[in-house]
Amino acid sequence: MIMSSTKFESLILDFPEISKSIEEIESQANNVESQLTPAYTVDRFFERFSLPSSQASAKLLRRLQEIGVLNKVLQIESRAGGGIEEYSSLLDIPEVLYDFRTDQDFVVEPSDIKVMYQLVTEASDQDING
Amino acid sequence: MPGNDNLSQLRSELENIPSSQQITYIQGRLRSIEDDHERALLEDLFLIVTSLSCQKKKLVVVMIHGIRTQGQWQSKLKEELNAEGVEDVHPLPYRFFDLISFWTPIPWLFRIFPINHVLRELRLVQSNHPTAEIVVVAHSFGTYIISNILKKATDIRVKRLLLCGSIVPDSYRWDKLKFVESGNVVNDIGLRDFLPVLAMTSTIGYGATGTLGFKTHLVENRYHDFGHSDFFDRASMRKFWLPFICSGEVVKSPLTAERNSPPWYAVLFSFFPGQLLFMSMAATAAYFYF
Repeated sequence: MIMSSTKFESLILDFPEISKSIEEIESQANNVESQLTPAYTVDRFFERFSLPSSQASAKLLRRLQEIGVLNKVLQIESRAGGGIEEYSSLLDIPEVLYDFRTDQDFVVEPSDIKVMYQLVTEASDQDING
Repeated sequence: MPGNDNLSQLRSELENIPSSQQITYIQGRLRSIEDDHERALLEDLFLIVTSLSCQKKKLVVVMIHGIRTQGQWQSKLKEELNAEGVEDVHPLPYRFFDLISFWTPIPWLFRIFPINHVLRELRLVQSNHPTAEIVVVAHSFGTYIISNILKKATDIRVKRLLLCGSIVPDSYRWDKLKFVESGNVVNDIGLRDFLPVLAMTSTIGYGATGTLGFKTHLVENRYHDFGHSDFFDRASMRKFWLPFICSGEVVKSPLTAERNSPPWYAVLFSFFPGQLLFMSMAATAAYFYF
């Protein structure tokens, strides 16, 4: 899938200090052809695209989500290990969740959330839009 | 990630709120922000900062040695890890385990003692570092010990596992272990290491995975031009072990892609697991008796 380069050009203008990272993300987004796009944990995403730990990086991630290049996945993890449920926003997470791995209800805490970012491909975009 | 007042305020407020009530509290704070973009930005900032600070979780490394040794390599690895800033590095020693105890095919007769001892030690490490991520490095009989522990003691939480000179059977059910995902178990194989094959063929309960590898995608087999105890060279530890132990990075060994087939004798012997040896001995004894 070839992402509209104008989307990225405007991002580079808005975030010139991390332009190299944006180019790298653009290149990666254009090269992802499979529906099985990799999901990066936050630290892996920052490392993979050499993003600094700054507000600009967080703002860039927000913009990438708004223009449909990136999906945020909040995976709730069982305390026994392994994912249980996925959400797209903190606002959707219930206070109490059933853990099928331990057969117990538990109160969700911030440390139970694994945050991942996934580049959106044409295929996965079509799925999202039906 | 400094500079956002809303984020600093939220994080400071959370310090006084029990963790079980924090999600509800954060949701309330987010809903109070009317501007959609600002609300989503604060959520992203919070999640990123929380995730990046979780990344700095304390790392504890434990090491389990093989038989007929006190595991001198552990001191070398400890030094290397200390130099990388990993301070909690614990050898989990057990009493000198001789060849006869190793060979005796009844597991509860001898093998169970080091397993139980290391399990007690591991539980102690875990209770002393309840929130730390534990990485296990095991060599030879140490791989047998840790595989038995993980199979039975489901309270043990391991973040990553590094095996070398493995004698764990190829039939081991990695899929049943909760922590195992592709990439967090590495099996370092010595292409000149015949001892795992010998262990498998001479008695029961062991496998030749330190020579032939595991046949599952859940374990990353990494091949080296090593014998059974050649993994403990400092340069090799720095190149292959430290990245995996510290951050989970699996540095590829060129031999993994370019290796030839396993030695013919290793393949040949792998067709004769220990059980067959005992069956043929029993059959021979029965033949002469009757």
